[in-house]
Amino acid sequence: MAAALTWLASTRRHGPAIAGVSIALLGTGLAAATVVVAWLDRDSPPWLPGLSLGWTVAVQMVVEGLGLLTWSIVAAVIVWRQPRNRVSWVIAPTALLGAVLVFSGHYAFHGLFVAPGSLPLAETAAPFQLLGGPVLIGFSLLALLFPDGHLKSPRWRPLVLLNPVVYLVDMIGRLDNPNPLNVSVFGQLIVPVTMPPSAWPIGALLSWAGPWVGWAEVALGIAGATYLLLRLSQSSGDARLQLKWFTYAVAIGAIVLLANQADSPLLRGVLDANTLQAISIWAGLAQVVVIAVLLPGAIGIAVLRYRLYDIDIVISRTILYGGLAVFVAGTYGIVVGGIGSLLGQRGGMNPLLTILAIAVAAVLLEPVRARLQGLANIAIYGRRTSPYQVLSDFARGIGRAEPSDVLLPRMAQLLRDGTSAANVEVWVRVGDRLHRVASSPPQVGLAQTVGGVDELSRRGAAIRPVFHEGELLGTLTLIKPRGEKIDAAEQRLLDDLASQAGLVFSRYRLVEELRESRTRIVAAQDLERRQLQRNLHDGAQQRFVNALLALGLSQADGSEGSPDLLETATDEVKAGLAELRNLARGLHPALLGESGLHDALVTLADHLPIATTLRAAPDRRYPEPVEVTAYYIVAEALANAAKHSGASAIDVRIEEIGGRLRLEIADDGVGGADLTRGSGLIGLQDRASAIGGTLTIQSPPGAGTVVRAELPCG
Amino acid sequence: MRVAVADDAVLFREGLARLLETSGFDVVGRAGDAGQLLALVETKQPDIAITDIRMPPSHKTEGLEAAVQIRERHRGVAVLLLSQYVETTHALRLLERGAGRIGYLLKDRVSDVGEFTDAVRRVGSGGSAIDPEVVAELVSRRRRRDLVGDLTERERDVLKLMAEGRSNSAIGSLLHLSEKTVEGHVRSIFMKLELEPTDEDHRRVLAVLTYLRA
Repeated sequence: MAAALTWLASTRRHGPAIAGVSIALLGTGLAAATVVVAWLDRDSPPWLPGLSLGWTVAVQMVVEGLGLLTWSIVAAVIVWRQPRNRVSWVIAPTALLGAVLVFSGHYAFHGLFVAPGSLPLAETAAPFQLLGGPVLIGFSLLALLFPDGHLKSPRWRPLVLLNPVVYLVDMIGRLDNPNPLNVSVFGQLIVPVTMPPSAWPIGALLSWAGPWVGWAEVALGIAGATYLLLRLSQSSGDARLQLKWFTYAVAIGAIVLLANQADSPLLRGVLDANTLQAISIWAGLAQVVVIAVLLPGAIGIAVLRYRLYDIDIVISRTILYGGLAVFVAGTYGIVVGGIGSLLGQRGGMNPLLTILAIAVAAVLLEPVRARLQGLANIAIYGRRTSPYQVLSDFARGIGRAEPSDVLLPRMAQLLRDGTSAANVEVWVRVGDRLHRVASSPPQVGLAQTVGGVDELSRRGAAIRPVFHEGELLGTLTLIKPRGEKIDAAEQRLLDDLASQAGLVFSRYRLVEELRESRTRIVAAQDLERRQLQRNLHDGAQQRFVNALLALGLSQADGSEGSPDLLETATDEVKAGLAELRNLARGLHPALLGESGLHDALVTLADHLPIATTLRAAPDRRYPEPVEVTAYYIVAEALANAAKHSGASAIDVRIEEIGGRLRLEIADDGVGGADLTRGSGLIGLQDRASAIGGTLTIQSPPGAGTVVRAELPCG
Repeated sequence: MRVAVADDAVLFREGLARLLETSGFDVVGRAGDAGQLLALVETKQPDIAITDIRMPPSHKTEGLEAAVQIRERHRGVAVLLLSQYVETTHALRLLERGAGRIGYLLKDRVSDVGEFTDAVRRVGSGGSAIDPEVVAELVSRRRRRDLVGDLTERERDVLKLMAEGRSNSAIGSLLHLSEKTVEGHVRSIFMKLELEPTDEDHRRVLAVLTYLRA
């Protein structure tokens, strides 16, 4: 049935969904039926050592119902989402056979023991217990094929064959059983029926293998565990997390399996029999819970990748709280049991000892918690790099003057190694925004910017701003795993690293600003060329064509040419020449090279429609780049004032102070100009910084605009 | 011959109209942009529309797009495009679309009234006119130089004039050759360039230009 469904899943387009829904319905139905029958038979539940009747019924119904439900739902979703993954070919039949196994046990018990004769085929249902064999085969194959449906390497293929062979031999051997059958997978439910006698000879064929099968199963278990650990240690990325989930569930299962054997002669000398029995009983229950709920849950999470990344937190919490539970229980056991027996007390509880146990546990709780947390961190992240190592590694990188795009990611990596942070990010301020320039673990789509430090702190990260010469250059941010706080040593490392980072940050920013300015210069050049082409086309060229037309017309009119047409042609040629002259002056004013900044600016001011006063030293000459830059700054500021400001007067002042040329162009217009928006001023800022100068603009709305520049001219 | 004139520069447009009228054309309307031109062609159905390539609002290829529409909607209306630049792709794109009745000249050509009006008449009566500058550029930049190199000096002159859209008799009179001699050259050119010979003027221009551009 299940195989047919899986086949359907791989062939039809909606197959996976149909198969998934069918598996879920079947599994849920069997789970519900099991719970119903278990409730009907609540007066004669399976025998569980040490549990009261009511508890047994409750535990059994919850564990069986929930277990079947979890397995079938997980199997259904995996078949639906990943029909081609061999894991779904294994998990679907396993889950359904398990459900049939559990249900048939209850069915047989009800029909043969509780209400004999009330159910048809009850006798046939009892031997269904043999399905335990195929289910175990399914479990073993799951462990081998998990998580992608492929073996770690073909070398392990023998395991794929050996597991089914051994479990099949085990199953067939069980046919040779003349005793009444136990139909519970949970405890003991004996029905007054045996295996059909006709099957006994078949079982007898293999009964000689009985003792060997037990050992073979242990050996296979060890081989499977080895395989799983090897696969985990050699995996990486998501596959590693998937295996971690699976191994986690298996490891918990192994621990409770061991605890289940606690009631052994070996331990009887150390702890009293009652305690051992209790441990054993609860571990047995825990084992069922692991197989019924934890294992399918972990498989589901791993294969479907839902909350895949939480495994580290889960492991960390398990170590922490599991360890704390053992610690508290152990303290209690030692104090109350151990000291109690020393004092010769028998039975009953000494209230003083109980209080003592609580006190000891309370005092030791915090140090033990810290130790356990450290242990958990080592289990998850491995040993940390020492803070000294982090700093010296980083300093070596700076010393070798490595490029920022190597150093910054290394800084993030080092900081994470040194603090066991979940995430470390490096943000550098470029312009007025913070850019995320590196992170550990590396993130795709790295480009991200925020407006300021406040925005970062809202993410719950520890933030350490980096300053250089009193200026904020960026931040290091550090996010600890959920629920953990940054400790003093980590804070110190963060601070120390931040104090060294200034140099790297400022270098990165310089490079970045240079890159941006270069891009702007190229864009500005393109724009200028387009404008020049447009000016030529609409201006001089048009004029000359008109002149040609007039000349052609005058030829056509008569051989002597007509005077008005010749006059038109002359006017157009003159106008064209004037346009060319204007254009040429805009490109590079000849006067600037010949007579210097003052004269060139006077001519420029004369062409403006706004009253302009100019104060500058008339005969002073400066190096050519300084003169050209100064000229363009003034020219652009004047052009902006004339075009946008609505000013009635402009004041231009140029003076030389201490080897620097100071320019100030002030108008009384509407203000509100902005360096970043549109105007050619940003290009001039690049130009000024290219020769080591600065340019600023002050333009409050309604209060005029002042452009100031300082250029080194000494 | 009935002519519609379109150019956004008033001075040039009026001058051109005046030049055409002086030369015996009937200027049926003037347009300042592509929209006006299309409306004009719709109502007046001129023999030929002369239009600038760049016109408002974007000053890019409005005239060219108008020309494409005119040739598609009104098969009988010829289009002569005027440009201030040598833009070979535009001219060829148009030629490839329609069966003749297309011309592409630089604005400078208006100064030689005789040549210019000849071109207008040629295009208006179903032929082609491609600016010599365009042809020169195509000839100079083409890659299969080896084949053009096989042509004699004379044949190369004939090739250029063919590409401009001239008829055999026009080529003959320009080069002072008899029509028969020109025909011989043409045949020889087509053979050397491995082109399909054709009698139709437009197809001949297209074949030569396509060849030159390859």
